[in-house]
Amino acid sequence: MSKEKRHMRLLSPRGSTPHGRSEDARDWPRVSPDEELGAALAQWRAPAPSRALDARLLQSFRAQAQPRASLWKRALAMRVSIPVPALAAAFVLLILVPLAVAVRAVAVRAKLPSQVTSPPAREALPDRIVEVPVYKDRVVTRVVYVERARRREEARRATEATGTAATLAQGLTKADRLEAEATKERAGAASMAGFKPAHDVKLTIIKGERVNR
Amino acid sequence: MTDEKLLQKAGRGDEAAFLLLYERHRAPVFRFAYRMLGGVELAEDVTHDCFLGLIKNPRGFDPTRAGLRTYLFAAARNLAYKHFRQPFNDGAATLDISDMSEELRLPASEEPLGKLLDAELSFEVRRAIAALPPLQREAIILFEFEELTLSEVAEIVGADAGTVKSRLFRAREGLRRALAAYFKSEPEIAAAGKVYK
Repeated sequence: MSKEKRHMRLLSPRGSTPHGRSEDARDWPRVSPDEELGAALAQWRAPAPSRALDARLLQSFRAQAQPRASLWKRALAMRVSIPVPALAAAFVLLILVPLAVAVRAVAVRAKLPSQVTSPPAREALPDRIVEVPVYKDRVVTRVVYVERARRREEARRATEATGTAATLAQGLTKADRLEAEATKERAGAASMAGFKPAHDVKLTIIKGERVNR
Repeated sequence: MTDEKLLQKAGRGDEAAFLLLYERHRAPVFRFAYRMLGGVELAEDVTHDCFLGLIKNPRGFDPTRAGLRTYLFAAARNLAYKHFRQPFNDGAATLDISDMSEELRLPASEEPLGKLLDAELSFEVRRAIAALPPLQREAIILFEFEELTLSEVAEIVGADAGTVKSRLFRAREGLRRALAAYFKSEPEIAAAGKVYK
C-alpha cells in the first residue's frame, strides 16, 4: 500500500479511496485503521504474474472454444474407465482360459500312444530254429476178457513163442508176426510203440458180468 | 464494455473479449492467491483454473449479487483451500538473510541499512501472515491488501460482516505480536529513517 493511499484513508475516512473502494458506513467507525500495521504490511509486495501463465491460459481458452469434433473422431478419442476388478476378470477370461485349454490339449495328446510316429529301428536278429517236442496223447482202451484157466495156458504158450522168436526171426513172415502180436494181445500185453507213459491211467476191471471201476 | 458483456462474448469464443477480461482482473486474483498460498506456482495454477472455470461456466456468475472481481476472489478462495497443506512451503520459511539483496529494488539513494530492514520486514510480514489461520489470513489479505469493504469480504468468504470483523481484529492482534519488534523506536531504525509508527 503506497503512502498516498494510506494518507487519503486517514484524511477522508468516509470518502472513497483513490482505488475505488466504496466505504461502508458500518465499516469505518468499527474498523479503525491501523496505520502502523498497514505500513508494515505494505512492505510485502507480491510479484506480478508471469507471461507463461498468460500463454497457458490462452491456450486453454482456445482448446475450450474449439468446435466439437465429428462423432467418429470423438469415438476414437473417447476414454472409458474400467474398474480394476472388471479388467482383471476380463483378462482371466480372454487370455487364461484359452491358454488353459491349449495346455490341456497338449497334455492329452502326450498321453496317447504314438500312432503316427514310427517305431524305432530294431537290429536285424538272425532266425533261429528251435525244436519243440510235440507230445502225442493217445487213449488206449483195451478190453480184456480173461478166463483163469485159459489164461494160464495162453501164458505158457506165449512164453514158448517168445523163446523161439529169436531163432526164427528171419524166417517169420508178416502173417506170422501179426499172429504173434495177436497172441500177445490175447495174453494181455498191448503194443505201446511210439507212446510215452501217460499221466493218468484208468483201469476198468470187469469180472464176469459186473463192472468195477 | 462491462464485465458482463465481455463475459458473454468470451463464453461464445471471442478471444479478444476474454483477453480484455483477463487483463482487468488477473493481477488482483493472482496477488490474492499468492498471499494465501505463499507460492508463485500455486498462485498461477489457481489463477489459471479460476479464469478457465469462469469461461466454462459463464452462467455461474450472477451480476445482480456481486461484481465479477468478487466472484473471481470467491472462486480463487475455493481453489486455494484445495491446495492448502502447509502454507508458504516454496521457500519463504527458509529465506536466508543473504538472499535479501536480490529482492531489493529500492533506489540507490536509500541507505544500505534501510534496504536491509525493508527486506527483513518483508520477510517477517510474509511469515507472520503465513502463521495466521486461513480464515483470518484471507480476511486480512482482502481487507488490507486488496482494500475491499467488509461487505465485499463477507460476500467472498461466505460469512456475515460481524464474523469478518472479529476475524480481522484477531488477525491484527496476531500480526502486531509477530511484528512487535518493528514497531518499537530502535536507534538503528531511527537512524535509517524507517520508523514504523
